[in-house]
Amino acid sequence: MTRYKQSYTTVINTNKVSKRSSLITMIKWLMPACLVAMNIAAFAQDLYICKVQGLVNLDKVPLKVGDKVPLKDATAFEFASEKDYVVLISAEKGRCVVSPSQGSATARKSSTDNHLWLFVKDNLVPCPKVNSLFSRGIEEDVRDYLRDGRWVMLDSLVVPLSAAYMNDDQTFRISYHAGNRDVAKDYIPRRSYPFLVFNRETFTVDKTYWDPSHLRDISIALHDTQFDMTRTLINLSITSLGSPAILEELRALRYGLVEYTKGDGDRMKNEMRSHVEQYYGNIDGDTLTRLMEKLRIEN
Amino acid sequence: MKRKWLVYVVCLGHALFMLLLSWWWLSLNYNLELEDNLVRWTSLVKRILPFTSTHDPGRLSAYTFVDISGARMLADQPAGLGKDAITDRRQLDSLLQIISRATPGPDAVICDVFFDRATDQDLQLQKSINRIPGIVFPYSFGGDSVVLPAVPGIPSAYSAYYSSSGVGLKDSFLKFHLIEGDTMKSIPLRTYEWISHKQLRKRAGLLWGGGRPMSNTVIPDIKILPVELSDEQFSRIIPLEDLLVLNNDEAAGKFFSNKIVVIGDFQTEMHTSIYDQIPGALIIVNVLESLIAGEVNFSYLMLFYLLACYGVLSYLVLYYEGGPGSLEERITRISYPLVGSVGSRMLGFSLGLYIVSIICYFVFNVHTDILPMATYLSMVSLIRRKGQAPLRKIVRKRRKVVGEAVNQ
Repeated sequence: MTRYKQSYTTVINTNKVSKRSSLITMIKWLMPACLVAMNIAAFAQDLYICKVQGLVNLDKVPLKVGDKVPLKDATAFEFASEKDYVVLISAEKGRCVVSPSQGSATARKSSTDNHLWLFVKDNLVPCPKVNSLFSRGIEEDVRDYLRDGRWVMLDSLVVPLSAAYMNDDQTFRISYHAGNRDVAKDYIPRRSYPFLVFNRETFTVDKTYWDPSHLRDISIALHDTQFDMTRTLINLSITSLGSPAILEELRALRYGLVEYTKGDGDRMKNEMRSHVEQYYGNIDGDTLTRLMEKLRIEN
Repeated sequence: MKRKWLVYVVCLGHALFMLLLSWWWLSLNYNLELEDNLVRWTSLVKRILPFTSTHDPGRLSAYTFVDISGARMLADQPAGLGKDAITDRRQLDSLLQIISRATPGPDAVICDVFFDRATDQDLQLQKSINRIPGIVFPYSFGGDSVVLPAVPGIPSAYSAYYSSSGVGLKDSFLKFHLIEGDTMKSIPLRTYEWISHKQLRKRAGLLWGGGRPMSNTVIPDIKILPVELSDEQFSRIIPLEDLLVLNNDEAAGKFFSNKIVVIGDFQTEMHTSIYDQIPGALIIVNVLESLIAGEVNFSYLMLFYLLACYGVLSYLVLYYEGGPGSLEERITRISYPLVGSVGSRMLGFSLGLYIVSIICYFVFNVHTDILPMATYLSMVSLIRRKGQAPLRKIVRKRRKVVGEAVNQ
């Protein structure tokens, strides 16, 4: 009884302390609980399917456009092939793609039917991605820039790439046919220098420089080292403006343009551009400036 | 005593003149490269520093961005010059119908799509547009007349993205006029008026009618950068097609209820800003964000601060006389041989104005100019020095005579 009284008294005396400690304990437990709840709430939104490529199942049921998908830790999609994908949208979070070829986590392969399993939550990839060097994708960028593939180069041809789409597993393969042999050169794009550059070195084989105007079947391909897959992006026809005959012709043209435009630099450039693009191929602004400078000095 | 009073009055008058000069320069459509750099770096530093940053990533959830770059249709070019790709009116119409059925409706709809060509679907589109309250479309100004959208009778506002211009300057978006001319209200202002239930009017270069007056020309902070439109898992940009294929009004309605819907081309319609390439629709959003945050509101404290700073500079230019052994003399002894008298004045005033401008931006969120003001102050200082040259000669001669007399 005495012991009980003592302990009771202790409790009464330390009432304030125990209240404070219970408050601290409550906060200690509540804070992580709130964080977990917020995390769950962030993913508890409705995700709607707006595009399905190929056959993709959820719990053995094929997904179709308009389906609502619960985004839980255990939600996994079953893809019939690696090229299949699902596009999901959410009013709260936005748009994303789930695909075995784009996901960050590795897909689990079924041993029976070769289907691929992916946990959705770990494999959401934002799409479309807007970034400072705006791009729809590295392939589209290169194709858009090179247009019909007819280009001229003075000493180099520079194709800008988007740093945001750099994939460590992808390389550019430039191939051409030179002197009865097929040549292929790989270029690894770097984020710090997102350009694909064709220069003298590109067309040098065994210390012999080949004028790109005389080469056949020049093409750019995107090579995926992970899957050992190569996709041809565009076939090129490059004319080197460094050849003496072309330079002689352009020099004569410039001489005529000086008189025709009365020395107006911008008009001369425009006339020169339209002539080069009509007869030889597309020319970028930098190459045109350097060409004009070269012709001016040599005159 | 009387002279001191006169000095104060002159300095205040000159400071007022400088303030007007600064205001006039801000209202012009062009800016100098030096200002580009100042704005860029101060904005970035302000954004990064935790105690100065006004950046709120949570604001993104107030918007729904709909990308119409993939919704194209072919239309005949004028004078039979073949076909041209324009925004698919049918798809846009379907989207607007979904938006009009959303309950509760959107807070506002900004449709950054300029209809420059009439099509057969325009009548239907017009009906759908007029069912949505708070929607706005762009019109442009062709130098001497307004170019209205080809779809008649739809709510529209002025749209332009000012760029730097002039010799040797970068072509990049920096300034934005909330009202062009006297009455042409821009899209962000029109949307802000709709959201805040205010009507603003331009008078004396300021906007009145919404509590505190606002500056008409703003250099907005880019609060939402293009990179922020996507995180590691989701992209905030929803293609138009995705919303249409859902074919579920309840699901689609969630994208628009109580949101500011921004419809635009986020893929190809890019503008060069001082930060980087930025979609035109996002420029509108950023200006709107500055308006909502009250960052363009005119501050009387800022006026007082600028007057005080310009007053001090006016005193330095008009009245300050550095005696022998003063700081000014010591600085000029080093700087004159290096950059000359004009150069050293320019550098000195530029440095002073840099400090004034940076403090003004960090405290009041308003960028002030540097180079034109520094040039002006250097000129005034030079003229004053030239004017005093004969007087100095006399003083120097007198000193010489007095010195010789003392020696004798």
